[in-house]
Amino acid sequence: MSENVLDVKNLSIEIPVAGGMLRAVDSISLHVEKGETLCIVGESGCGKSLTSLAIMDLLPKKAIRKVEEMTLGEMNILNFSEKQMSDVRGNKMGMIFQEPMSSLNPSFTVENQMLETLSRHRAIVGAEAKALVIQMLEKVGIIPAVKRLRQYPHQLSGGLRQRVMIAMTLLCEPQLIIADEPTTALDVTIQAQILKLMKNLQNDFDVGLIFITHDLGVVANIADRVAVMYAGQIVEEGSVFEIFDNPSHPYTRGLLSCIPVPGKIKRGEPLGSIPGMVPSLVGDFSGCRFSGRWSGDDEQKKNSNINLVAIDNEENAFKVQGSESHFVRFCCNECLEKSYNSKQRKAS
Amino acid sequence: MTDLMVEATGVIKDYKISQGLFRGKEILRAVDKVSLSVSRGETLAIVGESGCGKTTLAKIMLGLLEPDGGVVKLCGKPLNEISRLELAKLVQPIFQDPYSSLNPRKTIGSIITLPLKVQGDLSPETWKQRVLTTMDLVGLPSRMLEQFPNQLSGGQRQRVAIARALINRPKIVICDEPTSALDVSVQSQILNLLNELRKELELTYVLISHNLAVVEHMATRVAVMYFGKKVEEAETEQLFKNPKHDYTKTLLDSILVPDPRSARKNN
Repeated sequence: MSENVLDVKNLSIEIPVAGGMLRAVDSISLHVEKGETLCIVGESGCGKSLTSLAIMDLLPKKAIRKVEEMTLGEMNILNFSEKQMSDVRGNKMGMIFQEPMSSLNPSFTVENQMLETLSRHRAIVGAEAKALVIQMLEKVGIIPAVKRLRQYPHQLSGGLRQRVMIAMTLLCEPQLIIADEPTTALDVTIQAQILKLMKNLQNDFDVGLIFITHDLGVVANIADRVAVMYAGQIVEEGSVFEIFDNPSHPYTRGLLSCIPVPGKIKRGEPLGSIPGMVPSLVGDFSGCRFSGRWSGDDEQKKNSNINLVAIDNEENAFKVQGSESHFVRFCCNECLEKSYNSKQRKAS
Repeated sequence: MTDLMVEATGVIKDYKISQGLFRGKEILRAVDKVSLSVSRGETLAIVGESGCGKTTLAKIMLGLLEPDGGVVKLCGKPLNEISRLELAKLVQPIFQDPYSSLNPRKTIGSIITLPLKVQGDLSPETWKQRVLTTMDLVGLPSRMLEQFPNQLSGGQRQRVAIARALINRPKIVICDEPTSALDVSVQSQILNLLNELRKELELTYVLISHNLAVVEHMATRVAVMYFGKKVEEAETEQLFKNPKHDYTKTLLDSILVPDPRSARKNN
């Protein structure tokens, strides 16, 4: 039995804005196993970054976090104080952000910043610490590392900076790494290198990884499991193969049809699209989150051979028949009716 | 007969980089003897990593930057012989970030009308109608006429930018990363729109992008730039099937195919 490094149950985030409460994240649950990569995919504003910030307890002050259960490894981090959390962050839980220039301190050398991590969390100083830093930089492919130690972040290229960030995260051998769009700001060739590096290191260190991205190409390359987020909810969750082979929520299908794939759609032929816009989630939002977003082909796909099995105690949530790990959730009954006829749905 | 819409020969652009107060200036050659030609109705894509000179080249073709060498001809006429007003009727840009390319204090209507005003268009009574026609063309509802950019989503803003570029019916449109700031579902809407408009208005596109999947979908021909030089140019299919230059090969290898099986095979 594999062990979970992270377990989050019923996480909701509300942000007070002018005009009411913005329900940015609406009771989502997720878990990450040891050595597993969970990709959270979704478009901007769907709540994926807020989810990651909520796990790290780094939400903006105004935001209200409600969560039933949150454990990291053996620790219940739900009621941790600020001080306790800052012992966890960077130590048991590592973070890699999109823009490495803004996560590194511009006025300290690479060596200084990395040594600080070690002395803060693991009380390792002096020659031993320096040796560890060099070793880690070489692991992330910065060779020779000694040359880079005394450089400042601005002297490094984007790819190198991201490698330094990765090395820094791994220094304390965390159980979980949260990477929020770590390759979006990089060139495609560098992106491919960094993804490969992260995949290899994850295997070496056997660490759980939450990888947040909007790029389905990246997902296909790096994910073991995928959670698709839309308008603050996880609408579909499953292994990477289940999601790409058998997308069961109309939103996932729409997303997959939107991306140009070399050799799949002829040049000049229109790409699939998701019409309309994400509804505003301010106030007592109770309507359908997906209304106005149906594309013409959804009706035909109704007759697909996917069957759903209802999950107890959860409204409009289903397991895809024939698979233990593939779940789909609809925001309302209407959405469900539109996508699947009653024959395709079974009680549990 | 081939109509050459854009013809660039040996274009050079140098930037002088300051080395400090008392040292001389170093010269950085951003664009190094690049020659390109685009015929009517074609979509030429320029790809390359950041800093390889693709945007500089686009600015030269738009007449926004003076090249330090070489000649650019638009519709057979050298660029420096075309007046600015005429140039704007010939070639128009669409930029990457619709959040910074629209004036936040002007309404959508006045943003789209501005090119007509600048051109001193002689029949102001037709302006409103033309703005509405163009908005309809790019899929913007007419009720947005009096709204401000901050009330619009990213995709809608990019549509406004496209409407503004098209209101004077240019022949060439230079799209500099037109979708890289947008979400995938919006990206597909904008790409579809650009393709429809190209057919309908017989436009010629120069598309600058680093997203090779987008390039493969849109372009008829691709030019690859690397450190200011054009290292390869070929028909899209040719280039994707049979890349010649090492850099092109690396570039093609880094495409992330959204298919978990083939992605895993390569690793």
